[in-house]
Amino acid sequence: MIVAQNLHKTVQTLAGDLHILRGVNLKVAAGDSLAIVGASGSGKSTLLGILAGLDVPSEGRVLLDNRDLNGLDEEARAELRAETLSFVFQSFQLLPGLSALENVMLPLELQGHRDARERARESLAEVGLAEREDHYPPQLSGGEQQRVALARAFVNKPKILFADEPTGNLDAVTGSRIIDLLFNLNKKHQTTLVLVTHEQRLAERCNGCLVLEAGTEISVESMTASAHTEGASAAC
Amino acid sequence: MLSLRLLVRNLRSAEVRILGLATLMAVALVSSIALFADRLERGMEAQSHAFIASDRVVRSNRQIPESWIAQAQGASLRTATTTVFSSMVFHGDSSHLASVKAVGEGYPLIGVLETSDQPFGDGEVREHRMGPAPGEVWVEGRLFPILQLNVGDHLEVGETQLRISQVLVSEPDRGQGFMNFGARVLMHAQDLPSTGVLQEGSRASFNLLLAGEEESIDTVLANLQPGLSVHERVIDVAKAQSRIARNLKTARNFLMLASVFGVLLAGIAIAMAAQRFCSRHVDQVALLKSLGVVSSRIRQLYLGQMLWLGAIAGGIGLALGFLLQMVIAESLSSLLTVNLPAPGLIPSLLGLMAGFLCLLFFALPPLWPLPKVAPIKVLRRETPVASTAGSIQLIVGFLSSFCLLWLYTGELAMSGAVMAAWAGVALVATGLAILFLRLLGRHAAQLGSQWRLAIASLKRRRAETHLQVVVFGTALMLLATLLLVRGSLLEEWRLQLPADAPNHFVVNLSPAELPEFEGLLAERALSHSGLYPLVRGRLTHINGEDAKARALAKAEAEAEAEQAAGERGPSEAPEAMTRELNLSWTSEVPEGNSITDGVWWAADSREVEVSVEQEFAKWRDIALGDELTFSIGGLSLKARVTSFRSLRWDSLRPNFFVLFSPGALDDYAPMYMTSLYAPADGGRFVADLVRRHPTALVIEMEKIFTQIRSVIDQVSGSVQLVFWLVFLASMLVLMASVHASMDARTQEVGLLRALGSSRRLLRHRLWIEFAALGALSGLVAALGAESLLWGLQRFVFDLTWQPHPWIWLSTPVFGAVVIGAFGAWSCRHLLSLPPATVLRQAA
Ligand SMILES: Nc1ncnc2c1ncn2[C@@H]1O[C@H](COP(=O)(O)OP(=O)(O)O)[C@@H](O)[C@H]1O
Ligand SMILES: [Mg+2]
Repeated sequence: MIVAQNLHKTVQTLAGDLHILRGVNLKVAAGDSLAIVGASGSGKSTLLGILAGLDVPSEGRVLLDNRDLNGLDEEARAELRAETLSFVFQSFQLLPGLSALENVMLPLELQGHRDARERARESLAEVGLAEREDHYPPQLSGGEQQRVALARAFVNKPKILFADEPTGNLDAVTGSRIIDLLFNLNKKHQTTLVLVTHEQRLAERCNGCLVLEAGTEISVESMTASAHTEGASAAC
Repeated sequence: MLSLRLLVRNLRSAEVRILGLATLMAVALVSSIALFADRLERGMEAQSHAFIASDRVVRSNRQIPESWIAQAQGASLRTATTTVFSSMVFHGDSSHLASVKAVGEGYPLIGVLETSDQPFGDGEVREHRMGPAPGEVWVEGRLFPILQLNVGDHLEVGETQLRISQVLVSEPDRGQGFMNFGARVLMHAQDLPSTGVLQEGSRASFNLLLAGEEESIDTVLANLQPGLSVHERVIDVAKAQSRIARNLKTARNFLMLASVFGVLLAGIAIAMAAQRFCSRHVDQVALLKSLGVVSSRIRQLYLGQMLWLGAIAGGIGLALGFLLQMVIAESLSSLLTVNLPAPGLIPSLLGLMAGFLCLLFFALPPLWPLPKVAPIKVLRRETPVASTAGSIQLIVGFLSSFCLLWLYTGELAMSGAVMAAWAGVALVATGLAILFLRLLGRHAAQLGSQWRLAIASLKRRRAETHLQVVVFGTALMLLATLLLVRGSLLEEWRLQLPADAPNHFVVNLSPAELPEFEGLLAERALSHSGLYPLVRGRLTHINGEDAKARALAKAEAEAEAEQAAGERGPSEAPEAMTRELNLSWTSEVPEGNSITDGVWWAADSREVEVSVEQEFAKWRDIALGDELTFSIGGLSLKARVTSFRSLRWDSLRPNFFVLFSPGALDDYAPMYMTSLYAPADGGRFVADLVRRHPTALVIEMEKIFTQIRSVIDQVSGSVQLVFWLVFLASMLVLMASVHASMDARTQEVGLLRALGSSRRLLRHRLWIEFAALGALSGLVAALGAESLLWGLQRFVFDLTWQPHPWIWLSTPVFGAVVIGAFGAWSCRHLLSLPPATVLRQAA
């Protein structure tokens, strides 16, 4: 489902070129889950962005659902995202002006679905927030907001879900509830999952794991060997 | 449709509501003026066929010869005559200087007269194709309260009494579109001799109305025209209309200028709100992109939202504009003599367009980079966002403002001048703001921590503070100037007059009446300011050269310069060159006149000499020694210019552009005029005077003042409405600016609350901040208004300038209170938030 070959990312900063990714390789099969772990600043988000086609690598290529992202321009990548991907973010990224239900409806509305409202209701019910559909994000707790974000992520039945530290802004108890919910939904919808986290505990629930270290590409083979990086050195 | 839904959701946030309100305001401002002006123009056009109650009018200052009428009727034209003059009319002890029109059989040839049974009532309006019967008069409604009249009463006109049988509602040839000062009294021509009002030399216009086949009219006029003197002219509809149209256009453009100025302020609010909208939507756009929305679709979604916003806010604004123009029409109704048609489509579209243009010009530049936000921003919040440079926005804003002004007023030079003036005011206001803040900053420490915090807040948002001082300063300045012009200009002039300045003009006394007149004054211990003989004539030739042709040549030569300076249009000048003049003669230099060049005639001078007012001479290019030819009652008189004079127009004495040496006008049947002071006595003196001298005209300055006052009140009422809207637009800028600073303010307030500041202290601080801003703007406004007024008094009205101390007090106080209250109000929810929430939101 996801294949990355020899990904490099270099950005220019005032202090000179910054080489964030140096030759990352990985492979995730459909329905599998991959954890990307590493310390803060090790390049996890950068990698996730490239895998999801939000950003482009300086070198190397990514195949998503058998399509080479390098051959696609931003517009085509956007179309691909709309068809196959969803995201969950550390900072939830709900639109503050929209109610919970409207936030969940948004992806469907953008694709012109007529039954956006019904499907969004179902999705909200799946995360246990059916009662709160008219509430606005500022009126919801962090955990509730992330549940709304999960409902939004699953509402258009994506093939792949990218999650960037989904528990990073939550306390431990709430965080683990969110993770349970995430894996349940993942199983139920048969979604391929790429999960960025710095928590080992979380990574262990995935069937693959890749470790990035301090901005370099030092990385790890997974338990199921479906994820693979060059120079694999340690298991999660 | 999705963009509509998104817009409706976005309406929950303040910046979108501000965008909407500002758009609404722009549309309301422009459409109200455009709609009203259009109604007025079309109303006058609709009446134009009946504008002169005929196809052509031959106007003369003497009785229309029977031969002309016979000639026209011979060519199977329909004819009628009318005679229009001013005369005192009486009822009981009250009198009024009415505009009397005596109409003959056949009048009106085109159009209808409308009357009713009740003045001002909702009485049924009847149409007539002829005037009142002999022995009857139709009287304009406003005369009824003045003279305490009822329908059926008898009105004294000169020496006769005429029964009031109808209330006159409208006449087809009332002309101007705006009321004349005297109320109309319509009578039958047969009754004219019995009034005894019109005598040889009396001032009246005699009209021959013609209607029929265009060809026959042309033939008849071609026959008549060679025989017409300078005292006679032919009026056709187009000519009568073009002047009015020109004046109307000026008035419209002035009001449009004021309202477009309000639109510009709304534009500033739009730009600020759009900026805020943009920064708020960066995350949203990044999210949409992560959801797979392409840039073009995003552009389309946001464009769609702006279009919907423009349409919805514009629609409401248009409805408001409809209401406003109704209010304006209503407030001017007693001044207008035309029936206004229903509001039209084109001005409505013009109004709607203003909203869209405002969004296009002011919202688009800040929003432009929005669709280009990189999708990676959802993951990396620090990703920089491109934004339109401030300098580009400023330039675009300035150019757009100029374009809007030009587009809506059609006056290139005026638009440029307004922008330049505004830039000047902005510069001065900014300078003052910097000075003021520095001063306050230095002394804030002594004033306490509240002041220090408030001033720091103003200083931190320096750019916004300056912008707001400019915006409120100009809006308040417009209001203050209008109030000053309206409230005190006339009064100040009157105060500058001595207490016993003449307050009555008496015109039309025949030489035979003079002894009795002087006797009457002596009886009452009154004195007049000198009796001046008066004949009416026109200046026809200067050094044997046709005056009109000369003026035309001169006007053409100066056309460009004059037009650039916005002075009288060249097409108007030559007409005025030969207009009817009041001519008089005297042996002594009249009081209040002084010789500026040449010498006053000697007592024994035999030659016919004239002394000419200097401006009058300058405008006509008359030099000392020139020979002027006048046409007086069809005879011509030559005279040599031997001196120039300056006049004091506010002396309230008879003043003349052209004075002759003694005896020069003896042969032309002069009537006499004078002015005098008579104490207020409820009109008994005037009544007595006119009873004894029925042909005399008494002009009471008090009544003229009252009339001018009421016209000023009505006109400035509608101007004021527009200016208040402009002020409201400036409040939108405050709203937008407060909103833009809301995040920082939330943080500040949270911090202060956490540090233990009480709600009361915080409110106090907000008040100080906004009140200081308002007071500073008020100061700028007072300065601006005072300078404007100085210019007006000095250069336009030729008055001595006086300071207006109260405006220096009232505008800053008004600004401080209104802006302080509004600013504190816009921040009220900050104070009611629990400190914990404030801190969490700010984080
Ligand atoms: N576009 C960029 N410009 C400058 N620095 C960047 C850019 N993208 C990433 N970085 C830097 O690269 C490093 C890795 O970032 P990131 O992928 O966000 O790490 P992680 O998600 O593992 O914490 C950080 O130090 C970050 O500041
Ligand atoms: Mg990260």
